[in-house]
Amino acid sequence: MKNDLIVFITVIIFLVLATPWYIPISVEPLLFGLPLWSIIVPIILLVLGYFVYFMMGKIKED
Amino acid sequence: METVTTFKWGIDLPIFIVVYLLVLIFIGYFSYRRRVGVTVKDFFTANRSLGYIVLGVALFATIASGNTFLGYSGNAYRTGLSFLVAPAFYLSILVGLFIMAAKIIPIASKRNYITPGDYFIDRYGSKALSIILILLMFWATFVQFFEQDIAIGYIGEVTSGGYIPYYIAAAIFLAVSLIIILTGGFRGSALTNFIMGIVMIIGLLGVVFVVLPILGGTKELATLASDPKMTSYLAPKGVVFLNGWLSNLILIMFGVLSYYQIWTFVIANKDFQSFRKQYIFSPLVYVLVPTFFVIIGIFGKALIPNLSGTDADKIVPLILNNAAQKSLSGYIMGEFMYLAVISATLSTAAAVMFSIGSILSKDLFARLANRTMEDKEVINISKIIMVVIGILGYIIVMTPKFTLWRWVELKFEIGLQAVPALVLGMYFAWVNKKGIWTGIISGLIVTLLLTFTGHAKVLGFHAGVIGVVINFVLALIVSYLTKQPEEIESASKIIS
Repeated sequence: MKNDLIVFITVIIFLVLATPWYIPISVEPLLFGLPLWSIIVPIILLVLGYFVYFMMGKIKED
Repeated sequence: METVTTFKWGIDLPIFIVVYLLVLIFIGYFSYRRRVGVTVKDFFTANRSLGYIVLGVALFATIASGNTFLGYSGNAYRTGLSFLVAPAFYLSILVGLFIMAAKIIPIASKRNYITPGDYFIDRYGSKALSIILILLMFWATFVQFFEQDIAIGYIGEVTSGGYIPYYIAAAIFLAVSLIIILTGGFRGSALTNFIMGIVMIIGLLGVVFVVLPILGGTKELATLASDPKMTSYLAPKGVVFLNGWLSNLILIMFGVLSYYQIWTFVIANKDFQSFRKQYIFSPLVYVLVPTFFVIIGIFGKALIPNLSGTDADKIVPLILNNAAQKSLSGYIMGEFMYLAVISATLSTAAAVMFSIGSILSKDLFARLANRTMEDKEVINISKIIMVVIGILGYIIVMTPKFTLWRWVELKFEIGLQAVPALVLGMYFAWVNKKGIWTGIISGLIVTLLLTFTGHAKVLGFHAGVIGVVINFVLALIVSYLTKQPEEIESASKIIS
């Protein structure tokens, strides 16, 4: 049951934070020729990816 | 700003490709020599003996197809930075795999499952339901195979610089895929996919860090931001944009679970913690690879701004051509990228053919024949199915007028309807076949009705996502209302 809860929480947090509703999306400022938001999104996704890895470590196997 | 240029690659490119294909065939054969007896378990899962690095990179090579390597940059070229949803939905694949792997790896190991049909029949006790679910998954898997077949002939002709005609190039690539999987089984398929995955990553890194700087790099990119017409291209906004983003995450997270090859790669792991080790490097690869393709597409828009419609899909070859004309390092990296594109297509095609053959032989042929078959017989039938699927693929390659787009759109959306049965059955003992039937039928009806009445998306949400939400909800409600204590007890023994 605890394992199921870990999976459920991971999915919800992922879906909420992997959608960029909370990131200000605008052309300026630029970084490496690209709008800053487009650099921030992959960084957040990377963090979320390793959050998933962390949560997987909480799964207990019989 | 560059003009569109034609460029003829030297004879070294096709020679380079032929040597590469021979190496792959050798690895497939080497795997055959390493096999442990002629058993279904070894042929279909390599006896769960492969390490996490091989499985993780090979799985990535299987998921990233020719479409990823050619189509994603083209899509970013057309739609702009809204296609940054690509790294997000690629990462959602890892979340979907987590949902499945956390449950199915221990269950499959305990109950000795090899194919999804083993699980469906054991869990729901219905041959008819099992066959419907296998067919839904078959649809998603087979359409993905179509996509590779169509790409494979085109890529062959382009990468041979016109030395090898379309139909011969396609035949060579399909033959190589078949030799690898027929001789090497899952071990051969996984090992060659591992090599191809490494080549894909190196090729892509070469484009981003060598080819793009040759063509102007960040300076060229920044020219887009100075054009006021590019505002919505670089900064997409609105509810439909965000809903569409979320819909893509859900569609791919669950849709990918309907691929046969995903099942094969997940249950090939020794245990869940061994599977988890793949995630030491997978998030990095799954986020960066699609992000780089988006950057290449956006860069292409700055470099060659006037491509329209399907011409945008040629943006990667056009960028490579431009760089190859400018410098030797651009030429070498261009060759490597073509090798990467071939790898992306071959690895997916081989894994899909292998999974279709192995799963259909066991889940459909053996069950419809209604008898127990020897391991050798199952393997032989699976090999025949693989060859038939390969030939069918070749016929499709030779029929370029075959219109698939409508069906391709429905690939995930129809396959997705099998996923509630797959996932809910692992997590809730009280979910039963009545609920699953109700969910599948309702989900399919809603998806098809919306799609064929011109509502492929509603407020940014895909028809299939709306269908699968209804599927999930009804499967849970009907199962809860019709639950039987003896069914729950028997399911508990399987999943706990």
